[in-house]
Amino acid sequence: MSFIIGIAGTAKNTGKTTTTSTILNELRKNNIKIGLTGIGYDGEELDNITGLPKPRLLLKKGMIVATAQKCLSVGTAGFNVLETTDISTPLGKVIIIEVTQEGLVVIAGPNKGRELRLILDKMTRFSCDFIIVDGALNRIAPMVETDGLILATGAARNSNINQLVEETVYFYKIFNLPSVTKEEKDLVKGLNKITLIERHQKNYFALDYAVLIDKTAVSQIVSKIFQYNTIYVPSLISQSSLKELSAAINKSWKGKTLIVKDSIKLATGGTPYEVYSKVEEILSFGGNIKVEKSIPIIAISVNPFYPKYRFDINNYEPGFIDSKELYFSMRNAVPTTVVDVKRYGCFDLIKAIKSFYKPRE
Amino acid sequence: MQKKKVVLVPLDPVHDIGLKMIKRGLEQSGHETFLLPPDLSQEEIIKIIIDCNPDVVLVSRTLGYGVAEILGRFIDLMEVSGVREKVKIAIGGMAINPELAAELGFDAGFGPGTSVEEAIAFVENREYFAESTIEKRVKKEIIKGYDYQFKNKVIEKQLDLIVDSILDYVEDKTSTAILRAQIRKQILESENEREKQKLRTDYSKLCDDTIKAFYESQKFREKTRLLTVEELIDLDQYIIHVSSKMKAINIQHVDKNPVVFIQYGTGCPFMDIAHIKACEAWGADGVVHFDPSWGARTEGLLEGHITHEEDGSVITYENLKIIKDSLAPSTLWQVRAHRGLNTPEIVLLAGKIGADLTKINIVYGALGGGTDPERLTVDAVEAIKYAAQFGMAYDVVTNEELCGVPAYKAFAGMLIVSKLGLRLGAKPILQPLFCNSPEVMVSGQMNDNYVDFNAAKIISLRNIINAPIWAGAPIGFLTQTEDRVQSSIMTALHASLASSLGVDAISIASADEAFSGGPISVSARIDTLQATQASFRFFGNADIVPTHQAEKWAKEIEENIEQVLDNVIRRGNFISALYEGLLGSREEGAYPGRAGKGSVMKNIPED
Repeated sequence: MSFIIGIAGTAKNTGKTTTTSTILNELRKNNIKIGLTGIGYDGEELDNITGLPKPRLLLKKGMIVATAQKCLSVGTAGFNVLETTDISTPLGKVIIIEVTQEGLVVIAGPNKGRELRLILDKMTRFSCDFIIVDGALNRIAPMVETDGLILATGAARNSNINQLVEETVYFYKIFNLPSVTKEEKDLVKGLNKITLIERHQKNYFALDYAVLIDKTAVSQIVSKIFQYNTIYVPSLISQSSLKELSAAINKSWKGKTLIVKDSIKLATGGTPYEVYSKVEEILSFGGNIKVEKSIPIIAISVNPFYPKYRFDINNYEPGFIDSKELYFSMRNAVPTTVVDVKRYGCFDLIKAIKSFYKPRE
Repeated sequence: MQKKKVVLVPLDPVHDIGLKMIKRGLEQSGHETFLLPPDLSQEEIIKIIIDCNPDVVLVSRTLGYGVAEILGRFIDLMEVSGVREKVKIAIGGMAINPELAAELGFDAGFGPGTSVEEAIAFVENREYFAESTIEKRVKKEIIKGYDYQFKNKVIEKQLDLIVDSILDYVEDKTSTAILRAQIRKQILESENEREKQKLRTDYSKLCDDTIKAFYESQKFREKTRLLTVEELIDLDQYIIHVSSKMKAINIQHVDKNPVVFIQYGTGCPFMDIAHIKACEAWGADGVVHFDPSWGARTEGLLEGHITHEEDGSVITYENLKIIKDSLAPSTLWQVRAHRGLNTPEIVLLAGKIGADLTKINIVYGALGGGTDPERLTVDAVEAIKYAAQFGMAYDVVTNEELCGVPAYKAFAGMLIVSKLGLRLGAKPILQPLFCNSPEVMVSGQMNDNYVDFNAAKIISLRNIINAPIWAGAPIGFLTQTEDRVQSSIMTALHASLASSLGVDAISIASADEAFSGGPISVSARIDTLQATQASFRFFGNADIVPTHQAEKWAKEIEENIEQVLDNVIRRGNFISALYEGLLGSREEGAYPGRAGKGSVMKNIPED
């Protein structure tokens, strides 16, 4: 089995590529077979939107890469094609290659979760021990296929350090929700609609919907909830629906559990603060919230860079916030590893990864 | 074709026109569409998509910083809701391209210039072969449909008499230019390096000292040097890179809009190619090669990839070849040869390399271009023969109008050189000046408007002969100022006037051409190309209507041409007519050129 790590960002230019590049460089020293793919488009010379230079992805001999056909012609790495898949992207089919000569690559892999899964399985079959999924923008949905995330955030998301740190704390908390027990896991296995469960009697009531994003689904849950003690949502829960659900069930939450498929289904529903404040509200009413699949945040990578817009020249230039203040504020607030790889190197980051994944010696 | 259900999502309330056009196209193709209102939240949109269960979702949004994250979240919402797997989704809008679509997580990205057909192909799961790629553009025709029949039979008869006398005169004459062209032909066709070297020695004997120095001791003329190997490699990479990205824009909006040419001659072939590629990308149909002014006054041509520090790109086989090789297949290419001491050889090179067009005018070259009338007459007949041999049409430009020669005199000269070409089996194109010439500045024909006198010129030519007309060069010259907006508007309006008059081709300047104070900039070229495109779009098939004055002046021009031709016939010798000012006098600003004076030789036939 491969260990799959996702590099998820909170915005463009938050340091995903630099983080990816750092991990690639360090882990290759451990004599492990590394794979790399991405859910977006990365490794290009200039940013698609701001036109500012971007970090490049330099790959070493032996690495396995899944990227779109058109990206292969713009890189400098030598390679052997291992497989041409049927998975299409706007830049052509995804091709799996083995690097035969060190060089730069541009990565544009599958951008849907299901397709990412297929590619990861194939890369595993090509003997990858450790696969990095490079993220795109603020997208996290396909990261559900990974074993853990490194969250890249920074001034490009918000140049106000206090607000950025606060948001990251809530984001971390959403991803640190407790996992279901073995019994609960069995209880929800295979369900693909919102389902109300009475766990002792094993009574199930399935709604017509998988997603919880409007009043109709909330009303149906509220009208039936007195007979059940568990709500299972296999798909998206929007911030507004969570708010309505919390308020409508109110004190009746006591003894009831909301099980969500994974933290990503909650995190995409709204802002981390709004979502987590409703989680706390449900907890304060005596309810529980758990995730069916846990996707731990292994570390948080911070980046003081942001593209500063200049109105006088109608263009962007590199801007920076105070990197020390950003790093220490984040480290003091979030109970996990925080790294600024450009300023302090990657020692802590690799240590954090190795606490989840033990490369063979 | 299976009917598809398509949800159209305007995430950008002010930019949903594209979606509305696509909606209409999809419905006409039999698909079911749902265009959402522009003020829905992302969650509401997701709910509709879930309920509607479409095959395809098309999102419209203009990109800016921060917008990428909004779109990224939208795709995430699609994914976590479970609908992303079931639908194809594309993004369209300003600044969108396939790389961005990949980054944003969409299946396709459509930027500006995307056709409705392309969006329909995406919906229908068909591969779309963009008609707009530069490689697929079709080369336009200028001379097609013209039979060169004279409507004015008096003028035709006059021209025949003059052409007879020209051909009689040149029959037993030759020049170093003609001999050099013959040697050049042998050099190009020989595969034996020793023979080539010998031919080069023969060639250099027929050249000026500066050119001789190049062949004998590889000494370069001042301000010229060879492009380095590295520069040539970079050039190839540049061409590959740029060509792969180019899409073709059509400047023309309706069929009657003329073919649009730009003129280049930066001095450096690399820079020329960069200008050409930019102009091709912005829709130019053809390009005209300008050589340095000293090239016209120097006996002999150089060899190699030579760059020049001043205006005008040095004519060598190698320079012309790399420029030709860089052109999109649809780009018309003209190498001008009209005015100097190397006219036959330049036409030969252009023909050998595959130029579509050349430019030959004895009268302008002799009266405004500095070449001796007798010499240019002898050379031009040979050059026209080469043009006929290679099937290259040539234009006859009346730039002597810029010296101050009245239009009717310049036109008389143009018609003589055109009739000469027809007799020699070539295809001439009439190229009257289409701008504010000294003649009208003095006489006031353009005091009220720029329409009537330009219209009069075209009407008069149309009344004389059924031949292609290329308004030159560049149109609107001397109406443009240093203000780029003003300059572009003047070019665009002259272009639309030309279109309205049924002109076949035009040459346009860059917006900074008249007053650049230095090299012409690419952005200023794009100014006029875009302005011309906008003007063609504005007028469509609607005409610009001249006042009654145009017809009156047209009649006057035609009558005056007859009078000038009569004078030339009465003089009995075309070359003497040139020397003596019958086709443009010193008082009018036309001075018979001196370059090559006395160099015409008796042609001694080989035994």
